[in-house]
Amino acid sequence: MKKVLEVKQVSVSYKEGKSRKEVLKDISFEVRENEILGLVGESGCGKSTLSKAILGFVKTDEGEIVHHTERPQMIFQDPFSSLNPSKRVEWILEEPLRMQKIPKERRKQKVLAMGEKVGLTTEQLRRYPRELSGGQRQRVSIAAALIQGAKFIIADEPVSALDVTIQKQIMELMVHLQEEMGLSILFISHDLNVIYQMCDRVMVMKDGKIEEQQDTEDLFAHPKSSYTKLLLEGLPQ
Amino acid sequence: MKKKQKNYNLILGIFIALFMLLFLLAGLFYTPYDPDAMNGAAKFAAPGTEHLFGCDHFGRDILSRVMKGTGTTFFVAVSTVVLGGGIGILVGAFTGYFGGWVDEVLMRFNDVVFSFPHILLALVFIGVLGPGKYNVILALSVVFIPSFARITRGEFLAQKEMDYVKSARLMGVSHLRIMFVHIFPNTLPSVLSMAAIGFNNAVLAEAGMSYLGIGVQPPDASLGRMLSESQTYLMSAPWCAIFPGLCILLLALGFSLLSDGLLKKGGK
Amino acid sequence: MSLLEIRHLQLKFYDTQPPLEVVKDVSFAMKEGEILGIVGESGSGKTQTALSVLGLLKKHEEISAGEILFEGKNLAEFSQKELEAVRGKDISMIFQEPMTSLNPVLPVGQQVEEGLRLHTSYTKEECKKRALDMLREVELAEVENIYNRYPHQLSGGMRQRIMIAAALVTEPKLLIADEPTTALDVTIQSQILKLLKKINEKHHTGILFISHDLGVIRRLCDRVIVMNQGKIVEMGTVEEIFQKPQQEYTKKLLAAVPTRGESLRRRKGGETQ
Repeated sequence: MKKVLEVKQVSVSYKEGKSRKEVLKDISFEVRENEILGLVGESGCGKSTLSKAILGFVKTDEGEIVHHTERPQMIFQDPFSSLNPSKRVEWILEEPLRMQKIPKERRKQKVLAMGEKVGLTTEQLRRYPRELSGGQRQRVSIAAALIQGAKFIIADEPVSALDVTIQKQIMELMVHLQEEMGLSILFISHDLNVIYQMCDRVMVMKDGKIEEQQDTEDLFAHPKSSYTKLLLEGLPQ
Repeated sequence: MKKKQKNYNLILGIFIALFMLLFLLAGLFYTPYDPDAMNGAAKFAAPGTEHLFGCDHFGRDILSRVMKGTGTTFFVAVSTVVLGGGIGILVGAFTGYFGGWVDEVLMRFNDVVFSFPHILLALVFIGVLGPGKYNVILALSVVFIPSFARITRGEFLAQKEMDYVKSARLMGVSHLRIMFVHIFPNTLPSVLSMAAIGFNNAVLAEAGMSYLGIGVQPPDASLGRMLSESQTYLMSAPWCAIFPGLCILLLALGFSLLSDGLLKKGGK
Repeated sequence: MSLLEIRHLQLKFYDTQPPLEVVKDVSFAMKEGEILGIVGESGSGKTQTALSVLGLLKKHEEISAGEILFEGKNLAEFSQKELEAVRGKDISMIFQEPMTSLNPVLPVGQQVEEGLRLHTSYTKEECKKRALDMLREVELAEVENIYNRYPHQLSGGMRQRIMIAAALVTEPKLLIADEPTTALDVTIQSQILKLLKKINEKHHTGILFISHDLGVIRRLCDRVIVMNQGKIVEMGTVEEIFQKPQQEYTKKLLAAVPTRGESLRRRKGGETQ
């Protein structure tokens, strides 16, 4: 199976006063082509730091991160902070294409096509982010991440801030786009039920370490670590 | 019944500022008399139909002089804001966005400049450069850099942590483009209101310096200079002081209301 | 007599033209010692309904019609001063974010005592003794030590326990809880729900529990109100709502909740690839 990302024995630490605090300890895993890999953990377990390390926003102390695709894109949790409030949606979606030096006419076409793909109307593309609902804003984020043709996406709690009915729509959209475009997604969430619905494989993280990784059905049926069991216990069926 | 509150500060500010702008623009093309022409017969003429605002101790028409003087004061203030504000914004944007040792050095330097009273520092510069309109602009600009740098730096510090900036980085947008195309428009409400405050301070500082005789030099008319010249006749010919004073007041008030209004609008 | 009865409550936001009707003709009653859940998505009016009981609405929000009867007295007609006498004594409230609802510069012990100082004539020693008892009651360890700590020195779960202790120290008859577990991790969330259940059983405190999370509502509540766009869609016992929902909206809401029933992915069940 082809891989899009390999993370080998990565450790990350922060300076805290005089000492250093280890937030990621000896992390190793891979993301395969065409899969949604779930990453689950509670606040402070290091899952956000891990995504920053993969994207190069955080320096690693040890280990190696190998990308087998063009640069990955990211979808963030807070749809308010992830879209520039002073720009119209179409401007935001065109910007990545401007970086690729694509001529104006072609850009407009691509934006319209991408908008259609994620379910945004031409009229919504002309609005400012604040004039859209949370679900619509998340659609914009998804479109922006995909418009340069990225094959690997990191999604950090992309549905956590949304109402359940909207949450479901966005989850369905992501699964649909994954299948249609053959994407690989690292899907970060604290919600095991969301993970169950979305992912092919799951990693459970605790205190900067990977507790276990298994295929989704196996993990939910036969959790190996006691921490995973504890997480599953607190879960409504 | 409670209603949506109107932004009266902004409305009134725009109104006064526009009025003053028209007043001084008119002064560029037309004044009732030559502002520098002396007329012995009209010495200390009281306001009336012939001279609307009266005449000063040389018999010069005060309305004409106020029109020209407002223009000078406005020019000095705007130039100061553009020059000092421009440099301040650049310094603040770079230090806020990049951080690190450049930030440390520039901000400590900023603190040093900031710790002196504005007017005192401007006086030192004038002492070195000599008086005159352009030197006043230069001196005030230098003095204004720190406050602009500080505000802009704070905004950039907050904005650079937003996810949209990370997102732009991932898409391959350059740092410069992120700073000025992505982030800068979001800092406009505070920068504009800072510019209005700066404009105000510049008006008052120019008037103050000209009043002390180290600012704008004759024959240029300046509101501060007119005030300074009229103090001897304050009791006998109060109109010599009232009208230039009123203009300073309106200029300052208009732009301070404008900045309040802008802040309120931005805060929503 | 019901503990709390809301009759034809109507609530408007006056910061827009025309005023926005946020709560439209909402009526329900709640018995003593009952845990009643209100569930809904953002914009459903659930939080405004709860806040109106304590008169905690913002300046531009106003009750335009209806009655809020607490033990027979209409709170909607109470002045702010009269409400203050009820607030924190007979009715208490806990919020979503325990970091912002606690004062960062006061030791948490003092904040737990606050209600006693305002509403009772206990001496200082008695207040402290009761506060310590309350901290034990919410299952905190080393209460003497915690009493003198500041909010930022405690974890999210501990802060929420402090909030609950502060709310319950005056032994109120009604506790209004607005999304109290939303900001917490799943394992902590579980513990807080158990704690609320225990307190309800022991002290017979009525709990009005506001949440967007159907799973949490199901585990804690006796009865449930489903709200959407300012109206009550459906009301019933937990079994009725979750097993036999009558209304389309309720069904849609329940269907949207991610469960472990069916996956969106067409993956081979349990097979290792």
